[in-house]
Amino acid sequence: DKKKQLQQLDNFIEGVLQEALEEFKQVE
Amino acid sequence: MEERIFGTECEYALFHQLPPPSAQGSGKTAKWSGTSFSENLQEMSHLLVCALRGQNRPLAGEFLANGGRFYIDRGSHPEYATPECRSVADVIAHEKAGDRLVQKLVEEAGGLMAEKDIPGRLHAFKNNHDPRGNTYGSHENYLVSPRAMEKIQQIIPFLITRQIFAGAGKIPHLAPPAFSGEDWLPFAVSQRADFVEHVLSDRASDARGIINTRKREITRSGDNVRLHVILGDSNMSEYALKLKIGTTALVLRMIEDGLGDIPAFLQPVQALKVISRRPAGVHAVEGAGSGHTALEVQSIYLEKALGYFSSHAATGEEKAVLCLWETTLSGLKNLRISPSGVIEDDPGELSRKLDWVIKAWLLNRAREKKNLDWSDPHIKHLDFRYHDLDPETGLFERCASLGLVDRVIEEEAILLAMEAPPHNTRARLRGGIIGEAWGKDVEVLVENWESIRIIAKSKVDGMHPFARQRRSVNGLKANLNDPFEGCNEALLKRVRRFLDKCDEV
Repeated sequence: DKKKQLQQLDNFIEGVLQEALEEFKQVE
Repeated sequence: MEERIFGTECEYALFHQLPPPSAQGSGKTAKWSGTSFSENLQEMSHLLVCALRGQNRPLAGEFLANGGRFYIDRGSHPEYATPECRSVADVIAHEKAGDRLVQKLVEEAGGLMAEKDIPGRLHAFKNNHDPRGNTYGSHENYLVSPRAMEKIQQIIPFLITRQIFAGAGKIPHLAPPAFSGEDWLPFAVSQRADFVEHVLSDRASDARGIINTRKREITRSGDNVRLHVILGDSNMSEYALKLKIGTTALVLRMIEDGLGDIPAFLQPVQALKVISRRPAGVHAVEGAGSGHTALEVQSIYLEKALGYFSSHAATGEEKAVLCLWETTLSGLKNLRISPSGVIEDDPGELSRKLDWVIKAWLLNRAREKKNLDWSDPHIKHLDFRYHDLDPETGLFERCASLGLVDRVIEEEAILLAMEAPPHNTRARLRGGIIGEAWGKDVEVLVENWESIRIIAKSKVDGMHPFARQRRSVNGLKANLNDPFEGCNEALLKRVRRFLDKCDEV
């Protein structure tokens, strides 16, 4: 169901954010 | 032209993600410094080629048994070119097969990295720019009649505005001060728009055009020629890819039969760039005092298509694309995005279908939960992660596995396309010959898309019939001039006879 999907997505995004940035700052 | 040949070429970015220096041994840190899109690339792309050769997959140089081509392009970017396809469905299956093949090579290159004591993890991103402002392409090829090429300017307004459904979206490097105010988005709809400088150009790596006019003989099918479109974004979404290729083919068919008047933008390149940041804006066009929005221009083409197909027969695929086009434009008409980039209303569920809308929805979700600004490096990082082909770390891939995005083809079609060529183009002959010759005592040379040569490693008996005909005792050349020719049993028989002869030596 949708709610469970979104929870799994949020967990995934959380994991990606925690795992990480200089590369993306240099442009500034 | 009711029968058409299509194909795409996708460049991928390699991203070498290193563990933090504290987690690396002291000896390794010195050589492998900095996580990077641009350092260590030559070595990393070489590992991909090694991985491909280690797969025991039938190969002939850069060409594969599915008729496609994998190679390392300028800037050490891996590139996959689909075989010649005759349907939009085949293009989608083969482009996605390219994604799967590249990801498989990346995983196998990971094993080679471990063997060579190279730290970190390799990723392949299917997008069109890196954080340092370099761009790489997603090119489309369409076989068109000379009549269409004479009137090719008629497709320019369509190509400029199709980004509203075909764009992959990105957070721009820098927001020019002029790019703000009502209707301006905090993100860009198109990844490639910023890098296009001309309508027509024969350059591909600088001074790029919407259409590339460099002549490359890849077809001699009658007088038909290749239209090479280079302004497109790489699509992760199958739905967006189907719309991009399918609608472009519909417009080409109408141009070939006489499209009638189309309002041309007075400043086409500027319109392309501004639509990317302000898709609802109005742009000056010839002969229309008040100008048009991108959606209005697309609606003009759609109306012409609906009229055209009321008096011309459409294939099942053309009908499906027409329906998809109409539904999507209706969805875009009702899509509401706030000035801060939040999707307020999406009755057409475009956040399941179009890359730039899916991405906007995802990034907003992360921004709201973490209270982050659009310019935050975490959000920029997620922007890139959307295009990561790795099912473990890719944001789009995760959405697909969770059923959060719409698909338009079956997974089986993609798996089949990884191994087998389309059955109704010359790719079948090319792939068939590569497959037949694999493991035999011959070398297969595919120097271009139009021919293939088989060279015997040992000298073949000069008395066999083929050798007498060609006055050559150790080679066979097959011409594949007609891109529509997928069935040539006489040629395949000759090849088999030659290979059998080689085996006897």
